[in-house]
Amino acid sequence: MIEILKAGTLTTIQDAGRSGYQELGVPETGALDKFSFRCANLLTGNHENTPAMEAVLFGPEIKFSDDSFIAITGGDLSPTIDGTEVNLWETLLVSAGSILSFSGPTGNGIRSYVSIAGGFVGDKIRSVMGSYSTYLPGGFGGYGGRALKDGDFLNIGIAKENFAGELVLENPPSFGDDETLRIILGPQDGMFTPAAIQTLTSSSYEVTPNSDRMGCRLDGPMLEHLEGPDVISDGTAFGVIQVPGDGKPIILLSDRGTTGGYTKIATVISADRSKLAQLIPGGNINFEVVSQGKAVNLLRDQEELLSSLLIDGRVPLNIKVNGVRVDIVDDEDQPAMGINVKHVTYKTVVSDGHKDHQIELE
Amino acid sequence: MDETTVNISPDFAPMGDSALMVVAGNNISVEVNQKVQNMISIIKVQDWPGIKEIVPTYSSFVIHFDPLIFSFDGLTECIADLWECKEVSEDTNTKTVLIPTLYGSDYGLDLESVSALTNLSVEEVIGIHSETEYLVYALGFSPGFPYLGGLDSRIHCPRLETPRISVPKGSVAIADYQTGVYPVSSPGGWRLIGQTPVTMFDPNRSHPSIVNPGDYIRFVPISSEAEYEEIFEMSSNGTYEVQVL
Repeated sequence: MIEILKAGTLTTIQDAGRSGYQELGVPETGALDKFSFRCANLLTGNHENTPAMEAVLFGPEIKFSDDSFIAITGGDLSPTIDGTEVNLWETLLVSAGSILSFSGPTGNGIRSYVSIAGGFVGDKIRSVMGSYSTYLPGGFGGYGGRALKDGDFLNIGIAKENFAGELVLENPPSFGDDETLRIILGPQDGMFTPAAIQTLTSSSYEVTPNSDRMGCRLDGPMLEHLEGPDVISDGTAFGVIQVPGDGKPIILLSDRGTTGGYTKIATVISADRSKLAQLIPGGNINFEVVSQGKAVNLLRDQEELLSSLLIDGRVPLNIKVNGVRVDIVDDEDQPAMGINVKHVTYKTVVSDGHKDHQIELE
Repeated sequence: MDETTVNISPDFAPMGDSALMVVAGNNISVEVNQKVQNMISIIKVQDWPGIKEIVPTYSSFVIHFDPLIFSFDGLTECIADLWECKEVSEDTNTKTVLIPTLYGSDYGLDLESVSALTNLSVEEVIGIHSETEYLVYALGFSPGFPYLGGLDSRIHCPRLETPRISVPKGSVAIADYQTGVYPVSSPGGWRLIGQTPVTMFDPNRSHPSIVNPGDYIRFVPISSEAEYEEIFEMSSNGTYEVQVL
């Protein structure tokens, strides 16, 4: 069991998000920095989608009543155990009676994820619509539909058998107050003046303090619409940049509305989701346009980084034969970016040291 | 509104690397929305790998997908191929849900102002509002909030100049050409004409929302507060079943 001695600024239970209910107007919710969230779970031997804590700015103070493996990832909020500084991005062993606390942000991100081997469970932590994520405006999910409070108790689930800890993520991400977010233009970049696109990609924008789990509100040069800011209300996605009538961009996040009526100029790529989630109010960002292909490759690299922590039992994202990564091409000899059901067969070349074999995959 | 058009071929727009917006038309019309609903049904049947969820709105839909499993270009090609498909999905299960509604007085604070703005009697406004079957174009704004189209032009009214800080749960409201029900208490600027005792959305139910995109809603006037209270009681303890046509 653990006891929340102090809840901190805003500490909630989150998982990878609610999927399949946006058509009913239910936001995706879930960990804003999904990479760090998943990583925290892998470092404690959990399934990557086990509910964990998301702490913002000033983290909680937590007392453990059992020896436990935990991990802290994401933004550096200066964690200490019994007063001693501890590292992020690695498995930590806490002893019964120990107290984890945070002394505050250091300029390296604003959101920390805390996982525990076995995960947080208990009567009050329930799955709602397929997810443990807390949705504060709707008052459901997570710990009784609310943020954690001083004096809350959480139970710990059953940890992975024989989990020995000692995992470290090599080359973890770091976050600053001057970041470049890579974007793909669209879906409605055509509803802006050419100058607006130029402005977006050549200016610096400031992250304002009234950013929250719904959206990151920016201040900077105005982006001009061709014929007004409104569209027939349509769907949204994590990272999409909408621009209301005042011309100031808002980047939509996990708790965003599922529909929106403002033009959307561009979308931050999935691989930069962590950077976006960790933006510091008052910090600056720039935008750089990249292609779909590059965005997918960057995402694949990130997945590879995470898969280094997998202990067992998951299909690798890349196909390797005898330890050697093989390149898969589609029937037009183009590198396969993912499975495309239009293509009936894929090909790869495997060498046995003597000669190359072309293998067809169906 | 422009004349009704369903796009002969869909417009595709990327929303990053993991979401695709598919635009079926450029206006709010039953025809375009039915194309959206029908395409979604057809796509779901394909059971493509890597599709996470599909979210319909008035005239477009967004497909959330895993780009490491299904490529953006592949997905757009596949949908373009299906677009001509004339087959109307059989298992759409669209239904008309009857929503009991107590109009006026404390339950619909703006009914008098709507009556004044439209030069219709209160009874006429109720009669017009409750005789139409409204298409649920989409749900959004807040969990379970249905965007309903087809409001009779005789009762079109502008939004309130100053939105209310809190609109009671279950409020039935109109604004311009739209009508809707507030499933939970929230701020809102629409004109309140009545209130339903039915719990429209409950996150803990196996089917959280009593209506889905593509369904129809008809509001059925309740005659007394006693009946309202009775339905409210039953709906709150889970024993009320909405009538479905």
